Amino acid sequence: MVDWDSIVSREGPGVWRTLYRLLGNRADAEDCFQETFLGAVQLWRREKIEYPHAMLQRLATMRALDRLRRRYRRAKRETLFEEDFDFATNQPLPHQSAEAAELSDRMRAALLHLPEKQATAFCLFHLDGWDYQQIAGHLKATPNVVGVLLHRARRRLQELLVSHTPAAARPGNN
Amino acid sequence: MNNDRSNHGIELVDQAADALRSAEGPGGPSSMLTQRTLAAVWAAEARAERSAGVRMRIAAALLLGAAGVAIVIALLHPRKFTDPVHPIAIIPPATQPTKIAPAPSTTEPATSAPILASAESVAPSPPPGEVAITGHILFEGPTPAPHVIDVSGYPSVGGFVPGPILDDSLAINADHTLANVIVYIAGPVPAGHSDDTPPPPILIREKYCMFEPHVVAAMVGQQLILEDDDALPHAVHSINCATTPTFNSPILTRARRTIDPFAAVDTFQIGCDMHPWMRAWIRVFDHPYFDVTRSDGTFLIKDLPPGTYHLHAWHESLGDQEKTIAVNGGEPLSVDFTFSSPANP
Repeated sequence: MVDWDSIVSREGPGVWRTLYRLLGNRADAEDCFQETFLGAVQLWRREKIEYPHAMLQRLATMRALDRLRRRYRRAKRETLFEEDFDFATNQPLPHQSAEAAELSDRMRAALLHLPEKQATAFCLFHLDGWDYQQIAGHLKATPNVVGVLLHRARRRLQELLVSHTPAAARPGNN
Repeated sequence: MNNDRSNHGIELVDQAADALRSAEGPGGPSSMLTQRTLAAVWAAEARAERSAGVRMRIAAALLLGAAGVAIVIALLHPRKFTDPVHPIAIIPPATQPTKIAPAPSTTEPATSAPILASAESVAPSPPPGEVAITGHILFEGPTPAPHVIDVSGYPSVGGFVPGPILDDSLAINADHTLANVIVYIAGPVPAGHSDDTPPPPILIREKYCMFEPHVVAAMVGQQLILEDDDALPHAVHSINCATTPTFNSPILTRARRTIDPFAAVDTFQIGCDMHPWMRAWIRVFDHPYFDVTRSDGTFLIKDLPPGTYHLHAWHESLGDQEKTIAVNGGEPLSVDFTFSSPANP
């Protein structure tokens, strides 16, 4: 029998951190928190999980990206143009500057334009600090493939972030 | 300018990733969220357990149904199921009714008068022209009920063997003859007997978690081949082996192993570590004058030179009997032995 009491209490803060980073608001993070652990229950019944921490982080990342996509699609239905969609629905956190909060929201929006594997690899590498080997294990790919995924993800994010940067802030426009 | 933009883009990605990394939110999950999540997790576990229980019940019902069908078939065609696992429980009489000589006393002393061959005691079926000793091994007294071996602690066996496994240590045939009795000549045997060359290897199969045959006799120098017909693993080894090279084969499934030639006269068992009821007896002789009774209780010892011999009949649980016989050249001899149930001597 899996000791879910200790797993939830031990891994809960890490899962919460992963979710909140990507979702940026408490309500969505709370929903995904529960979904993440329910997904873990299903996974655990199919196979023995050796590293619950890594598995929960991956599940949380994927849940959060799914939630972000749903939120984005809903917002698109409700607004006529994608450009009108204001992703920044949250107030900046006390320790964040308004600029950092705005950058976070733009990054969340940009992540939605990445293919699922690229987005997952990027989040696990840059946000959760996994190495190539760990990501490769979870994505069932080789470390070389993970390197390619990360490279493509960074290049695409770069394009997206630059194209949405106010013209005045771009270099060469001084 | 393009380089500037590219560098700016890279910096921007790193800055945005940093910003996102620092957006950890206020505190961790609330205790209420943790409690709610735990309740949902336990509810999901309980649902999964229930559905697993339902699946188990369905599987059990299907198995019971299959077992019922198997029992009906077994009742309609008893041999189909009893023969492989219980080679001795229901053995029909020999197809050729043989004339059984009057049963001599089982307690006949070794010094009793030699039984001389006579025209009336013609052997059941010796090849014409050969000198042979033939006879029957009879069982006297009530036939004990077959003993069903309890395999409840071995779920893989229960699911594999098509019927109950019966103890084969006492193989009483339907016509009250005994199978698996070794009849042999003891004492001095004249040198230069017809063929000193050991016969081909003897074969013991592991079939439906039993050894088949249960009793074998072999000559010094003869090899033993163990063949696993089961889809289950067995770990066969020799037990109480005095002089024959001991062996302890690895756990194997569907394998064939050849054991080193028997080195000396011996009597020992082989067994399986994984299924303790699996036992077989092996007796090794330094001459070719022996036989193991078949499913009709008969034996045949061929090519015995003229002379006086001690003929023994040995059963693993009923003991050993001896008769002194005199063989005249060219005249076949019929000798019977009668064993009694240990509870009814």
